Amino acid sequence: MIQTSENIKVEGVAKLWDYPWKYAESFIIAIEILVAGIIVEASTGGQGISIPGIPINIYIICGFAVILLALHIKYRELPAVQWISSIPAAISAISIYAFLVLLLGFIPQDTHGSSKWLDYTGLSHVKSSWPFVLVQFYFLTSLGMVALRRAIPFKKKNIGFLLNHVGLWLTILAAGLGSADLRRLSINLLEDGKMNNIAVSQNGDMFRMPFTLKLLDFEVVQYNPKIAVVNAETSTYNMGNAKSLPFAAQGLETDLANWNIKVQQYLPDAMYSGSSLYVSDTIGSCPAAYVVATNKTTGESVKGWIASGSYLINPIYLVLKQPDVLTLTMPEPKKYSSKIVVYEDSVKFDTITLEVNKPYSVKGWKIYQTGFDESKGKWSTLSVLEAVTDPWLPVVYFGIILLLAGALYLFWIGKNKNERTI
Amino acid sequence: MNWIYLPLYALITGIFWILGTSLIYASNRKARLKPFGHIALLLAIGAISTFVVILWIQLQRPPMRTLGETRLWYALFSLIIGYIIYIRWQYKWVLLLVFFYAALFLGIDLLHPETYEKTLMPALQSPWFVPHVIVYMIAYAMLGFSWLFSINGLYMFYFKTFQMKVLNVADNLVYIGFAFLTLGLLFGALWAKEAWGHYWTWDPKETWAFLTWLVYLVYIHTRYFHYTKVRLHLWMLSLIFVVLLLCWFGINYLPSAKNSVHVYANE
Ligand code: HEM
Repeated sequence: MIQTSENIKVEGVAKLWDYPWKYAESFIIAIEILVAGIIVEASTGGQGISIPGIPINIYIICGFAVILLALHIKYRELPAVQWISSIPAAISAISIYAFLVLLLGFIPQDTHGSSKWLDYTGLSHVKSSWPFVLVQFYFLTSLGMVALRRAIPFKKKNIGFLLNHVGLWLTILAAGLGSADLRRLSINLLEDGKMNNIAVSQNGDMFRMPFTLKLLDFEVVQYNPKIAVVNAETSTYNMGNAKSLPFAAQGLETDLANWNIKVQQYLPDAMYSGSSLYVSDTIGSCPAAYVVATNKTTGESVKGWIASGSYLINPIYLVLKQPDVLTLTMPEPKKYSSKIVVYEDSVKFDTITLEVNKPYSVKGWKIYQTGFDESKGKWSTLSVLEAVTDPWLPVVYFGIILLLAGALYLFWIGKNKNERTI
Repeated sequence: MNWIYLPLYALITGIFWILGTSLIYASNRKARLKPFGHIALLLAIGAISTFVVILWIQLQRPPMRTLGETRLWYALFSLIIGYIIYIRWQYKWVLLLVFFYAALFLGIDLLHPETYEKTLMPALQSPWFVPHVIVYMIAYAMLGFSWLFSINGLYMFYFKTFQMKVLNVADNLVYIGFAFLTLGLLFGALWAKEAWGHYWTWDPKETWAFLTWLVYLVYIHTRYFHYTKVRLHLWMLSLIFVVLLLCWFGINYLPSAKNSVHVYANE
C-alpha cells in the first residue's frame, strides 16, 4: 500500500505527474473537476442539470458499475487506476465534496435569478448544479474503486470495510440519481364531502392520483393559549424577566413583567360581541380568561376578560398601564389529524386517521398529514396532505442498512488491536 | 398516574448505578468485586426499565408523547449504551458520564413535574426521536473526549513526553464516536421520511450534520494512511471538534432558527 519512490528521491525532487500520484496531483484533479463543472454550468446559462428519470438513470447506474468493474478487473495494474482507489484520491474527493456541502449550507438555495454570479457558478442551486454532480461523480468513482479493490477477491476480514464503503456508495448513488423519480405532491382536502383525486406539484402541475380521498373530519387539538403582556405601540411582548410566557389555566397565578396575574376563570371556548361574553363552541370561538392583574410596585390592580380572538373575532385586551396591555396569544396546535376515506377503486376502500408521523401507504404512494389553514386554527376546514412516491427508496434503504451494520462494526472493532484502554 | 413513584425508582437506579460504578473502580485492586459491579449496574438498568414498563402499561400507550416521557427514555438509553460501551471497551469513565446524563434527565423530570403532561409538537412524537437524540449525545461525548486526548497529546508533544498510546486511545474514541454519529445521521433520515415525507432535504441542520461527518471521515482516512504524522493528526483532531462546535452553535443562531415575537404583531 505504501509506495516508496526511492529512485526518484535519489535524483532529487519528485516531479508533478510522475507516478504514483499523491496529494498534489489528487487535489489538482479534484479542483479541475470542480472548475470544469463551473464552466459547463456557466455555458448552459446557470440552468443546472436535470437528472434523467427511469429508465435512463437505471442505465447510467448499471453502466457506471460495469465500467468500474472492468477497470478493476482488466486494468487494475495501471497507475491511474491504482491512484483513483488510493487514500490521496479519496481525501481529495471527500474534501472537495465537503467544500461544496459547506457552500450549500451557507448560501441560500434555490434562488434562481437573484444573482447572475451565483447562477452561473451553480451556487444558487448547488444540489442540481454541474459542479456538484461532477464532484459527486468523482467521489463515487473513487469510493467505488476502493470498495471493489477490497471486494474482489473477497476476504472475510473485509466485511466491515465493505459494509461501510459499499453502503455509502449505494446510498449516495441511488439517492442522487433516483431524485429524478421522487414525486412530492400536495393534496388539499376540504370538509365538504367531495371526493378528490387531484394532487398538485410545487410548480403547479396537476396530477390525477391512482386513488381517491374524501375528508370526513379534520380535527385540531390545541394547547391552552399563553398569557402575554404586549406593548401596544410597538406590538412586541414585554417579557420582563420571564424566559417564557405562561400557559393560561384555571386558577393560575404567575408573575409577568412586574405584574402579578391571577386567572380567576378560564373558558376554553368563548364567544363575545359588544360587552357580553358567553361559553360557546360555535365556529370562530376562542379561549378567554377572567384575570386580576396587580402591579407589584404600586399595588394598583385591574381586572377583566382577555381573549385570544380568532379569524372571526378580535382579541380582547386588558389595559394594564399605557402602553402595556394584557391578552391571550393564539393557541398553538398540539395535534392535528384527518379522518379520511381512501378509495383504491370502486370496491376497495378504507377509513383512516392521518396524523403527523403516521403516514398511510396506498398503491405505491405514501400519504402524509402536513398542514391546515393556520389562520383559522382549530376552525380550519382545510387539511393539507402530501403524497410521496419514491421508487428508489428500497435501494437507498438497503444502502442505509449496510451503513448501519457498518457503524455497529466500527463501534465493536474500534481502531487498533492494542493500547486502546485507558 | 404512576409518576408519583418516579422519585423512588430514580433513587433505586441512582444508588445501584453508583454502587456498581464504585465496585468496578474498586475491582482494580480487588478483582473479585467486578461481578458484583456488573450485577449492580444491571439492577440499576432493571429498576428504571421497570418504571418505564409500568408507566407504559398504565398509560396503555408507549410513553413517548410528552417532554417528561422522552427524558425517561434518554435516561434509560444512556445507561444501556454506557454499559455496552463499558463492556466492550472497559472505559470506566463512561459509566460516570452516562450517570451524569441520566441524573440530569431524571433530575429535570423530578424538578419539573409539569413536563409530564406537556405534549411535544406533533412532528416530535415519533419513536425515532429518542434514539436519534441519545445517539448524537453519545457521539458528541465520545468525540469530545477524543478532543481532550488530542489537547493532552499536543501538550505532551511539545514537552517531548508524547506516547503514541494517547493518540491511539483518541483514535478509538473517534471510531466509537463516528459510529454513533453515523447512527444519528441515519436515524434522522429514517425519521424524516416518516415525519416529513423525504429522508434528506438538505436543510441547514442536515447539511451541517453531514459536513461534520465528512470532516471526521477525512481524519479517519488520513490517520489510517499516515500513522506516524503525529503532529498533523493531533492538530487536526483538536481543531475539527472546535469547528464542529462553532458550526453547531452558529446554526442555532441563524435567524431562521429563532421564533419571532413579531408573529403576534401580524394578527
Ligand atoms: C461510511 C463512510 C466510511 C467509513 C466508515 C470508512 C472507514 C474506513 C476505514 C475504517 C478504513 C481503514 C481500513 C481498514 O481498517 O480496513 C478505510 C480505508 C479506506 N477508505 Fe474509507 N470509510 C468511509 C468512506 C470512504 C470514502 C467516501 C472513501 C473515498 C471516497 C473512502 C476511501 C478509503 C480508502 C481509499 C481506504 C484505504 C483502503 C485500503 O487501504 O485498501 N472511504 N475507510
